[in-house]
Amino acid sequence: MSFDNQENSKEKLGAGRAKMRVFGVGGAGCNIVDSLARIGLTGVEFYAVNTDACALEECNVPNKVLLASRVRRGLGAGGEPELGWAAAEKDSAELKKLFEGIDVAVISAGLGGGTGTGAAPVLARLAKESGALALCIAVLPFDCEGARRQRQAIMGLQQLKLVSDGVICLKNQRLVSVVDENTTLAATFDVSNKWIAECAYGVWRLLTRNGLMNVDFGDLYTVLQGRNTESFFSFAETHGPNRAEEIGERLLKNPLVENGGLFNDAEHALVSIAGGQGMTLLEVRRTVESIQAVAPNANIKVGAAIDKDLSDGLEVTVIASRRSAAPANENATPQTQEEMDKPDGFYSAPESFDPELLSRQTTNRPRPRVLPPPPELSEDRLNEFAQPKQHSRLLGRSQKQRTHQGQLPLEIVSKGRFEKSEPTIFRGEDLDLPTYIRKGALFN
Amino acid sequence: MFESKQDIVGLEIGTSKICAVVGRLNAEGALNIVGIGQSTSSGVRKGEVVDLELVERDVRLAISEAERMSDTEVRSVYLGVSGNHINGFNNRGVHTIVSADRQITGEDMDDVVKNAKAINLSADDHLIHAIRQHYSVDGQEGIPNPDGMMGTRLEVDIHVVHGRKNQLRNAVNVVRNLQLDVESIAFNGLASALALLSYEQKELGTVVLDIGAGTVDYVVYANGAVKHTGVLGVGGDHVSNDLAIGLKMPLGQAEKLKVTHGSAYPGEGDNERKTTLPGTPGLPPRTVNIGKLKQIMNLRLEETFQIIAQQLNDEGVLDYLRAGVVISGGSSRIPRIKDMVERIFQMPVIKAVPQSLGGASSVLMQPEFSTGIGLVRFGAQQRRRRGYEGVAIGRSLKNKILGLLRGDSGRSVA
Ligand SMILES: Nc1ncnc2c1ncn2[C@@H]1O[C@H](COP(=O)(O)OP(=O)(O)OP(=O)(O)O)[C@@H](O)[C@H]1O
Ligand SMILES: Nc1nc2c(ncn2[C@@H]2O[C@H](COP(=O)(O)OP(=O)(O)O)[C@@H](O)[C@H]2O)c(=O)[nH]1
Ligand SMILES: [Mg+2]
Ligand SMILES: [Mg+2]
Repeated sequence: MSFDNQENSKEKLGAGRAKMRVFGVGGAGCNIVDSLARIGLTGVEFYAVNTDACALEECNVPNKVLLASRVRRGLGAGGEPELGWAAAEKDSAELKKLFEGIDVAVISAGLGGGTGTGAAPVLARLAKESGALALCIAVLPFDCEGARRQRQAIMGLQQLKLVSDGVICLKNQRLVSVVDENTTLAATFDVSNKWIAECAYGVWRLLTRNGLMNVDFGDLYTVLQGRNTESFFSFAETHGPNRAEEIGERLLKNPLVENGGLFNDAEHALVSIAGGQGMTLLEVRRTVESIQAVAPNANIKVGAAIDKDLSDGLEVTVIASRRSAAPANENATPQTQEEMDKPDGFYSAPESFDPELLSRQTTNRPRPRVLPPPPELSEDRLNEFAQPKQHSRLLGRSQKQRTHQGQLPLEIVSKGRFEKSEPTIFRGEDLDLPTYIRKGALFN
Repeated sequence: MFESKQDIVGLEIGTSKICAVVGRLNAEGALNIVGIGQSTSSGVRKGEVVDLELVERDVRLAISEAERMSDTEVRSVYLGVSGNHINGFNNRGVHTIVSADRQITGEDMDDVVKNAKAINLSADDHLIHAIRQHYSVDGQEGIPNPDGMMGTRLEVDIHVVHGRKNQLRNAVNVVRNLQLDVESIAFNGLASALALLSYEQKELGTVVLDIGAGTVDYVVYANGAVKHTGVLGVGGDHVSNDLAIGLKMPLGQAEKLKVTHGSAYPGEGDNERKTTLPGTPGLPPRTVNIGKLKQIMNLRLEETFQIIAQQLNDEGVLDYLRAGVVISGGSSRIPRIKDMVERIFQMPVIKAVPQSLGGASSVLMQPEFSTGIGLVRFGAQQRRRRGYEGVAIGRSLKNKILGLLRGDSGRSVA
């Protein structure tokens, strides 16, 4: 976000009447908005955006947008970010209308799949083009989902960071320690979605409620900006007379912050405190002190508000960030299979690059000079791209060839990915055809 | 705005990813990697640009990310190239020493190299590298520097890497469309070798196999010089594509299965092992036999390495590989691939990641980045050379690229 925008945001939000819309993109994104809609944020409108019609159907959100419905016919993006991207680009004119007159667009997505990874950056870009602030909430896949998905997720995250004003990130993997092994995936996702909803709720409260101490989007931006920052969050709720004494411990116990460990090298933290009518300044101070104690190097901003509904309750959300640390053993060359195949290696790659380089930067790092302009694609290409892959069509054609031309069985096999490229020929053999077919390997 | 003439940017337009690496020479002339940008590549097949628009979009993303990270403005790049169309061969130049005292001068050395470079490439071909190997004086082989020696007949061996103009032009055009200069193009395999091999490995003799998504780029070093180069247009994409066809599933799913469950060899009991893929809209859940999956991979990989071993054997370079094989590139992550290459080549095999440069954190030490980092090293070497050979060479490098675009025959060499 440019600095003008930031100024704007202060004006817009200062009045406490910021117009906010929350978008969920893709499967995970829609589930997250679903959870948020259940909490219900006054004055906030929720939108579920997906290429997958079935998933959209199941989502309990009032406004639903099916992307590229004509060309993809609601079939989803098959885990291909390009498809999600093309689908959103295709409908960009209509999507853009959703951001008209909006001050803050919160865009949530699970990265690593097709729709969220491909389409969320497009939405963020459109939001910014419409003058809204784009805040993203991204979920990263479990380690066990594989390196490819991790890599897709990382690239998606990088693109999101490039086009939006801030990204709050949750690694699904952090949940592993909380849920027991036998929990179903769906239930694990549920837990994760509730946490994210809590976080978004904290942000919303922070930005919209006037209170004892105000913070604004600019402060949030300070925490989340920067390509190499890793953000994390925690929240907790306590009740009764000891609520301020207990809250610190609760916040740290949260596995999302690795039991407080992550706070250790936090550089920025934004603390949102809400309490019932009786909340005292002392309680606010206690809360902040408990965070200071574990995050000694952090620049801490505090927002506090009274919420009548909370009566004797105290709710605190902390959003913090640190510069990603480079892995410790600089000189060790990973040689073993295990080391090299660890998806975590992928994960930390672009995120934790070159801490030195950034250290001379001030907190108000200017936005990049080169924002990638929206990719331009012709209508035809978009259609072609967004078309469901028709494997059956290829088969159909090959069968025809067989009957008409009586070709060798070898030649009727689809070349799949290499259909359109010049064949790789070695000693007369077309190496693009599967080896197992050319070698006549038979499988049961 | 920070912008430094010292920045050296390597750009790999790979089949699966595009990667821009920014290197910076510090005051002492040491090279630091200060930024890297990546994007998923969607318009490249088997190392060749097949969709200019898509590649342009992807390159833009990678470059702007690298710019952001390194806080610099990228003006020019060292562009890596690959593809089946690239070939290497050795050539010899001869020059007779005519001076009365028969002492070999620098001029003689230039002349003999010039003769060696006078190659009749086809009109569709462009010369990418002409790399000096060794001189010989009056039949005495293997002389690294004959300056000042006495003799009548000076010869030089060079290794020539060339590729098809059209394909090279596509890659160069993508970059130029983004208002970036191409300082020089370099064969990806050579770049990887620069990032991976130690002095000893080059001296003893090593082959580098960069096993990517679309190609295997290979380079043989022996006695400190490039002995052979080549490209086989087969890579990780072929493995995934075989799986997609053999297991009847979409390519994306096959790619994922390959990464999560793949291996170069089936293991014990794999035939009884199954993995269940969740259903997607339109596709019911299904099970895949792990044994079959690995069998399909095994056949493809075995064939690929056998072809390469055969080609190296045909070139007569296998005997030079006293330090064995170095594998890198994303597909070198396939479990047990090292065992396979060891078995086929009957030599020690090392899985390698780019050697760390000053300032580079170990996150760069991924097999996927060999080419990108190597391109920066290549750029640095070119700069140093240009440094003492004067500006003229710099200009001629540029002319070479311009010539490539205009379609001049690729016979002029830097
Ligand atoms: N763990 C893994 N198991 C199997 N294959 C993997 C794994 N990780 C990456 N790959 C494969 O590595 C390939 C990508 O490698 P790399 O980034 O070196 O290729 P590239 O530079 O894009 O392609 P090229 O150089 O051939 O044009 C993909 O085919 C991918 O499937
Ligand atoms: N926290 C959370 N993560 C999810 C959920 N569903 C999917 N994910 C994660 O999000 C990633 C992307 O999946 P998904 O959103 O279904 O893909 P898309 O619909 O193509 O964007 C997956 O790799 C999962 O790790 C969910 O409900 N909650
Ligand atoms: Mg998603
Ligand atoms: Mg490569």
